[in-house]
Amino acid sequence: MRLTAADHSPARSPQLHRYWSLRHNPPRVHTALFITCLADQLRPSIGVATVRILRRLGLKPEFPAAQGCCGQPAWNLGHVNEAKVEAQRMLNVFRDYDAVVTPSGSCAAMVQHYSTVFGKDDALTQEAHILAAKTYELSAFIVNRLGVKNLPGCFPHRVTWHASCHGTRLADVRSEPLQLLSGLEGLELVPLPRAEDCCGFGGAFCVKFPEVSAAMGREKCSHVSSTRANVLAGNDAGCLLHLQGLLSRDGTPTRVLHLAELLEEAATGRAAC
Amino acid sequence: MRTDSLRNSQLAEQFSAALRAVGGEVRMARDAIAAQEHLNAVLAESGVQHLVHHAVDTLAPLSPHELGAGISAHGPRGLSRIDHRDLCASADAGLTGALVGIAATGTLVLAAGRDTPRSTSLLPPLHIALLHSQRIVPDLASSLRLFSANALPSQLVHITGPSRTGDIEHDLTTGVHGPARLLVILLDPNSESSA
Amino acid sequence: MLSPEGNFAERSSGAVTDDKLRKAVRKTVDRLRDLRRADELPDPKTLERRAKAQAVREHSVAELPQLLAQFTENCERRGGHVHRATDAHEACSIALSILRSHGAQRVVKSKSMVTEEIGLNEALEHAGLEVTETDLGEWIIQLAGEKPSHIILPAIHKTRHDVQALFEAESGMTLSSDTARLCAHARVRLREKFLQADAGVSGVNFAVAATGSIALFTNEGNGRLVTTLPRVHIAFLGMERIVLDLDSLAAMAEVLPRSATGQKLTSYFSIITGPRRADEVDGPDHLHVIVVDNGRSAVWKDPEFRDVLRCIRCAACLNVCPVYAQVGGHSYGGTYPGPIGAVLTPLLRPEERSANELAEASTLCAACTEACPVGIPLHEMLVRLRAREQKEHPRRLERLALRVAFRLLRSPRAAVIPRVLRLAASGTGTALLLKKLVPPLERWQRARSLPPAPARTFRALWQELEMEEHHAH
Repeated sequence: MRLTAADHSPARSPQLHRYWSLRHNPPRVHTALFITCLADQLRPSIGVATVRILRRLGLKPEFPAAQGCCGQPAWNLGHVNEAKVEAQRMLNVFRDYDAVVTPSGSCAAMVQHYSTVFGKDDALTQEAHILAAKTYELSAFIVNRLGVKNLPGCFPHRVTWHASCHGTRLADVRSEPLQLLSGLEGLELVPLPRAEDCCGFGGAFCVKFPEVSAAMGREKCSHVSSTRANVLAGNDAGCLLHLQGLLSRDGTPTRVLHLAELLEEAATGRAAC
Repeated sequence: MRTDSLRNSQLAEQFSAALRAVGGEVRMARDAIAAQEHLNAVLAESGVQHLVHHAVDTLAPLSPHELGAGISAHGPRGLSRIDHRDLCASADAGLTGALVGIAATGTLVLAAGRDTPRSTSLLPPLHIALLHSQRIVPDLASSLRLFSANALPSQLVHITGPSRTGDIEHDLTTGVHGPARLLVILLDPNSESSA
Repeated sequence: MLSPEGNFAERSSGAVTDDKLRKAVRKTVDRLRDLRRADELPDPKTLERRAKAQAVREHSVAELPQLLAQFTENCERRGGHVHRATDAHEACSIALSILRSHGAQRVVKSKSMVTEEIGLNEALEHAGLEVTETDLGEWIIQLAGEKPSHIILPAIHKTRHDVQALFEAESGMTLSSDTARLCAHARVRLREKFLQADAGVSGVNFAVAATGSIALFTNEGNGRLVTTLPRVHIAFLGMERIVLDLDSLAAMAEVLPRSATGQKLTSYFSIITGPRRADEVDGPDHLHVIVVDNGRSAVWKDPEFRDVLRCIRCAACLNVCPVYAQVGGHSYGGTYPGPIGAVLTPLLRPEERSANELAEASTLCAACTEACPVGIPLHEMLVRLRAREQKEHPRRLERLALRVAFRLLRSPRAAVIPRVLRLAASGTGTALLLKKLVPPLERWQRARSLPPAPARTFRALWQELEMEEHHAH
């Protein structure tokens, strides 16, 4: 097990008790990482951070290489058969694990709703329910499955949180990421106005209706700017890439970080709190 | 009996608060004399000259015959459809009773009938309604349960505040079609009469 | 009816550059949403109310044929006449023949979405009748020769100065732009119309099967005038807008105004049962209810979409829809805008191919589903509509692209997206060609920078990560 700066922290606050007890008695959860296409191809640092966070919690996450896309793009575009093929692959890939952890609220929601994809196909629907029950968005896994409400780390920045729609409304991940963020030392969490509004990414929507998507995104960005946060964090790479693209086009210096990247930076960074 | 009347007063308070919250006016009266005084005062303050009203026996204990000097008052009886309509259209105020009051929403329930035509509470710019506190029920469902499915009036109207619109730039404006003012004289024997 | 010009993509990309429109729409939806929340969020009974309303509507939809038969019988027993219209044309013809049989020339209307849907005003005007919309917002829209852009507040895209100009043109008078004065002017002008009208036309919020009644919710009072002054009242009932009894109606009255405007109850809520009785001095002599099918039976027979018939037209889904807030109602091109329109329009008008595109006009954020007081899974229905469209008119190229992409994305060496990004960022001729070949790339870049391409994909990094774990032990 790799040691980090946080391990030597003299102040082991009672809030971190669960974290430390897991480190000494690693949980026996056979865990698979579901990386998601966007993190794999566009932001591998999200995946690296996720693996390291899970390892620090005493887990040995595996990465089954046969995994692919969860099928959401096909499903949302109406290509039911293509979605079924991908969903079936995912059932096979993750069958033998106790838990499947993914750094995306949206992809977690898709996997959790596979029973809808298979419809009345009973054999697979049953399996889909099993996979749904053991699939977690990263923060939900840490907080709800492992029972860890606080992670050690220091992140002395003003942060605002983009609650992605699929994560909140479809995967019901609402308080968990905020719980983990607010436990970090030095982090100032500022609420994002109209947080519940969609940022306009919407998968294929962002390239099918680019003007509308950008208008929605710019509105979100103006809310982000109004918080005067220097970091915008979220747990869906799609939303974040879209917002980062808009912010950087406008020359706005706000950093856009995935929750995993932020937690990792807080745990290992050099910043002092 | 005593608990009933206390309960009525509580409902009356809830009714008043709800109605005032949506822009209606409420004047509490302890007895018939106070109610009549309120009516006469409102008519005088508002410069009402022409009043239309529901049939006298639906308004008891108010009497449209004891109004201040110089006020003409017309009930529905013996009038043709057109005459009644024109009287209502040119009246300064309409006076009605209320069959039921709904505490949760501050709503008056009026049933259309021979003695209680629809236009009286609709065409004039000011609607004055008399409500007895013992006729107040907690909510809409309990009000609707008072009516038998086989004996509904031709129109049962639920009035909650003055006529309002926000259609131009969301600017809340009253009286675009119906009365701009709704004033309820609430007769509650337990109340302190108020102006 | 869909507007003939353009498609959603064209209309909406125009609308997003119209700052005046966007501001007005944003102001309206925020206001209505905030009013609803101010009422609902602190109220512990909200969930219970919604559950009751949903149960009522589920029952209504399940028992629709029986309820309609029961309503018809009871309404006629109370002296009303009930007509069934299969489509828009038949609904308008029935209304016209009723009006002609009474020699009616001047018609006043209160707000009704179903009459918009069937194009009633055009039909009556074409037949030489004078039709006046009396809901203030609808009248403004009528004077402007436009269509409503919101279900509850149809004229939200008009400023007071627009309204002043429209009223001046109509009356030939000089008016102020003060809202209260404009409303006072409308009161006088429209009061004349009410007093002269031969017939009143209204919609129906809910019909009550057990009593044969129709219920109307209004704030201005024009709904009451339309059903009080003229001799003839014609009420248009969307076939599914029916509930079992007065208890069910009470349950609906608890959610409709709250979901629409955050009011506990609208200023006026009328339950009309038959025409006026013989001894009454006002109210219509004749009451006709026209039950409009216009595609609803087909929706009812479709198990995937039947639940959309629970809709009570409260517009709560519009007020939370992030797409609607940007593009406004006219972009949807049909009678019903926003999420409910995106679902309903293609279902009611399956023969109009362009309506199917509306289902694409959503990010599937599910805010609509969350806001719906009767539990319609709107975002799921949008996905089902997309699937139906693929089945009937497959986009083969898109499908092929997806299949290829899925394969490449799980290949350990392909790193397809980073490669494309590096090429696109290279600024070479190949980059330009790439943009042409991959339209999504160009569409992404219209407003957004491309993300930086990572040196290696996660798949490629995994081996090192595994080593890292081994070294640690």
